Amino acid sequence: MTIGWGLMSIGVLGACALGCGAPPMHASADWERGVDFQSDKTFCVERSPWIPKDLTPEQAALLEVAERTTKEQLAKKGYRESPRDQARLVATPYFIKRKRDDVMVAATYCGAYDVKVMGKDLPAGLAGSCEESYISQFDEGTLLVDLYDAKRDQLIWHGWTSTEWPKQGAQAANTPKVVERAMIDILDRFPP
Amino acid sequence: MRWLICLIPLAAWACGSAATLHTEHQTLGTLNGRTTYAFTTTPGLNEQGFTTGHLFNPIMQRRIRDELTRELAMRGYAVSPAENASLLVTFSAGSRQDVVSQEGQQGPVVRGPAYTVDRGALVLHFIDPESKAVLWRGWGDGVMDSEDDLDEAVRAAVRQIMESFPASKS
Repeated sequence: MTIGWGLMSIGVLGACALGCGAPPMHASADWERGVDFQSDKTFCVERSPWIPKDLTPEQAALLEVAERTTKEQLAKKGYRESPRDQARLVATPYFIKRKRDDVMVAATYCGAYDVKVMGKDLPAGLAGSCEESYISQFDEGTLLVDLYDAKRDQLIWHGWTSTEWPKQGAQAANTPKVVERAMIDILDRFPP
Repeated sequence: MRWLICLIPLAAWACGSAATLHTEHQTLGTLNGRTTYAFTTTPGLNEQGFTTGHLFNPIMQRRIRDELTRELAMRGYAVSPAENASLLVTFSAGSRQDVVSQEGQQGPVVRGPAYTVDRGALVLHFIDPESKAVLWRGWGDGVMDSEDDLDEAVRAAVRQIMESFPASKS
């Protein structure tokens, strides 16, 4: 049993070492039902009112990545960038940060610890009796894109995805790619 | 405030089942003779650890208002300007993250498996326009899944909370 879980852990770590250039993310979206997103496919990108005024240079650079990727993705879907007064959609990417809990479940066998799984993906029935769960906090960053109907001045589409807020060092250096990937994932959900 | 502590653990995790909603309501005054209503401002939710986040955006607010309008019309209430309304209606929503552990253990290390869930809550208030006293209050909360259809889930939540709301008696 210990060996089995050990192999699984190694397998997961190995797969991540090969394929996890960015932490896993899952994009979601909400939108006004009944809105026709296909008519008048014009858009512009504006600075969100939720963006703080005093951005650091790094944050400003990331926001530029988000705004550029938004333009690219909407263009790929056949939407045409237009001046503000002619655009039907106004896209405003932004980000927020909050504290979240993370759970790591570990099993003890004869005094040895074998880390089994991160997070909540392990069905409770598979858990043994000699387990402990370690709860820690982390900073979660959420990237969001709001799409407004310019004529009605109403929010009509809202997409987002979350991942761990980048720490200093290598993780921070990879952040522009993470932001780009996140924006692609979010806008994959558009139009609904 | 007895009902405030009646939150029950909800949907089984990792089985893909539809989220279950737990609802409560509290009647604090008479609704007799009240036939008209108006919506008023939507405050943020800040109780029992729930806080209002980005999901309580104008799309969500319009959706809740729309479903409430439907439910109130079915019960014989008519929308009216705020100055003439016999009821003011307000609502708020929020979410919180819970760590679920055996026997509700808390702390950085707990015995047995634990996992996290995101729980959403919706609160409806029906207020007397003159005294500003809350006459009726309904609450619903449930585990949220990132794959949930928010439109369907929230409309269902409004309907379920409103099941206990009385029809208009003029």
